[in-house]
Amino acid sequence: MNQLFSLIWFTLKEVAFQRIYKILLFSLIIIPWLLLIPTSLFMLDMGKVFMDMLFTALHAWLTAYLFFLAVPLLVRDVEQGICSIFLTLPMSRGLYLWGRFIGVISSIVPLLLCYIISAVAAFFWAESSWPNYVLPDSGLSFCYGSMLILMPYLALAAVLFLIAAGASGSAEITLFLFSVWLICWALPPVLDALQNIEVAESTPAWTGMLLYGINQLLPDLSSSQISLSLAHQLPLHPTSVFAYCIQHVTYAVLALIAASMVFKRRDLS
Amino acid sequence: MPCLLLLLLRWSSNGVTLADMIIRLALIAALIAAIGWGRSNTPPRQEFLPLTTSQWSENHALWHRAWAGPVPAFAADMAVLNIFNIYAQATATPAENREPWWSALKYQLRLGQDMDPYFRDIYRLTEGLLAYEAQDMQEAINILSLSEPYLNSSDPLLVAAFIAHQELKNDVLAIPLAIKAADKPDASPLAVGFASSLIKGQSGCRAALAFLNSRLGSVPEKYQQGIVRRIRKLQEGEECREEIQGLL
Amino acid sequence: MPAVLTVTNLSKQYNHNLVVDNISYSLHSGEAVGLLGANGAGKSTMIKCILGLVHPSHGSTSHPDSSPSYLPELPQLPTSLSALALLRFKCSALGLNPALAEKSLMEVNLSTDSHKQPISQYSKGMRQRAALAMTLCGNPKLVCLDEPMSGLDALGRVEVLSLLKEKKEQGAAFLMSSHIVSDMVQLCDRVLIMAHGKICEDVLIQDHSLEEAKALESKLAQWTIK
Repeated sequence: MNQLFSLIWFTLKEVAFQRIYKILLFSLIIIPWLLLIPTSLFMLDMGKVFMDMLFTALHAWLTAYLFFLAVPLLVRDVEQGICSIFLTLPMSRGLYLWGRFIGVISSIVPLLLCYIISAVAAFFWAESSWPNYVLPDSGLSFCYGSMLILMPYLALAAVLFLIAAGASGSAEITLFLFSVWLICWALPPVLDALQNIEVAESTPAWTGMLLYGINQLLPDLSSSQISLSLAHQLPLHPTSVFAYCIQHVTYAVLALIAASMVFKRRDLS
Repeated sequence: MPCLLLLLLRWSSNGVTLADMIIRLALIAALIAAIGWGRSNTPPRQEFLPLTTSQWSENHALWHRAWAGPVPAFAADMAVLNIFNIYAQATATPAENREPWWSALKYQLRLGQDMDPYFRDIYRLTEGLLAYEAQDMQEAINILSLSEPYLNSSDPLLVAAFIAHQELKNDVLAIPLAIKAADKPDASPLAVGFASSLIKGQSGCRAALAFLNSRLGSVPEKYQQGIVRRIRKLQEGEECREEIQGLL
Repeated sequence: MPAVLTVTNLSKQYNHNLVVDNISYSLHSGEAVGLLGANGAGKSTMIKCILGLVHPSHGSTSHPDSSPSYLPELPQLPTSLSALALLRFKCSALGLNPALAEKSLMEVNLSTDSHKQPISQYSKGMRQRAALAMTLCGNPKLVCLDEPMSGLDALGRVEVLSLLKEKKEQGAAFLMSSHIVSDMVQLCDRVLIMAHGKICEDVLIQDHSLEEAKALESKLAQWTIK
């Protein structure tokens, strides 16, 4: 356990000391205030528009975090052999993966906190400046939504670890992660759209089944109902929210277990 | 100026001669001036035709939803910004050439409504731009009536009913829309009154009175007085009195 | 004296290429064994099999008392952190006194100013010293070194050799792979000459002299030609 906590803390420091992390942290404090500018162009639902933009920016920077911070970390471990520093402590391969994963996730927390705090402050300002067009407690809804939107990215980070456990280098890791991310981005709304009779009629049955099968294998990045509902302050059923969180956390755990199994069999050259 | 001189001195002490440094500064100033001149002399972006004039369909919805992924509401926001641009471009175009812009407007409104059916700005823009600028009343009514399952506000449905009655002279279309508007939780006396006047025109006073009485129990207390006044007005009005007495 | 490392019939095959072919030997406390061979002889692969970084196709390795510490041929270190942070991590992970981190860096003569600088600002030689400090921190019983002198100047090599000898006298066992025969002869008690994945000859080093180094080089040349 000592080794696990040490590795988590080490990973957190390793990520946080990078210049790109500091730039991202600074940007996330500024971004909510900059988003107030395009928000002011709208007419009635300004609070909803502001929240949409914040959620979109959240998706963007979480994705950027995975590709520009998490991927290079794992690439260095795998390609350059930095993982041998940890494995020859000695540390088991499973412990190493879990330690790195929890460390990577932990380093998102300060970024998320800064983003939420800045956004909530911006919401307070918006509520006072546009009282008729920004619903009260929008800041609270945004906090809630941010936590929920983080869930699928935990699962995606676990998928990244699974990919890195078997991949040979940066090209494979980046390409596979990008493919998974793209499918996770586009597939759920496509499946929703296939429920429509007109669309279903023009789509072969095997296509729908194939897409459904792929969707079951990958984390569900779609939190569109959550962000839409919270932006309009529509109620979220607690059972649905709980199921949503459980779904993603268990997916992440399963993916890490699979990653451990793959990584244990691998030769590290 | 003093800062510049200090900078000059600092650079000259690093082995760069004053002449070199002046040349470099002059070159930088010339480049900046060139950028400024280029920007000020480049004509503003003028689009002669919109990017898309396709007809909206469910397949388009499919692609846009796939593209938007987990942020469909943001796609709706972008559609509204596109609408502002379309309107600006359309008003800069002679009236006889605006048809492609109005097609694009329709597309963006459909896109916005599909991506975020709760978005009130879409319905406001439909009322203002599609109905009265582009003069496409039927399409405006179609889009406004899509708000029914999503919004608590009666405004879009009320406007749709008004457009159907006033512009299309189609009370068969207007009355169901007006009734739906009056059924909304925040339906004001205006919505209820408008619906009752349409019903009176189509089906007579008894039907209008029956409608108003049915709404009396469901509207908020602050609106009940308005409906009571309307009922009394109808009952005391000559036209309705004759109708009711004639029936008796 | 019980062995700190026993290698029994170790083989490793990649596809149809037998990189390590049925190797057996043992290493005892306070003993230094060198691995000498041309590029592709299987030295690094064998070391990685011992460390568990590579799974052997056949055979086994055993190091009952402690896990080996490892200095890779091209040590890669996390560049955003300092050497001190890296060593403190090792001390924390192994439950060692944190003061050992600073002490290990002093042992490898890494200047005090650079302890807290990010590794990205280190020269090649400084990185090699930092990696060596990481390897020797905590006085491991078994140390595997792959080209430990890489990137060091002549003075650095002398310092490192002196340090390794000191550790050896304290009871550490070394398994060292190197192309610098003279360094190997100075430190090692015996040298295993490898070619095509096999141990061709086990040479006992007697007086650590230059003549022995030359003799060893000629033996290596003979086995390489064969």
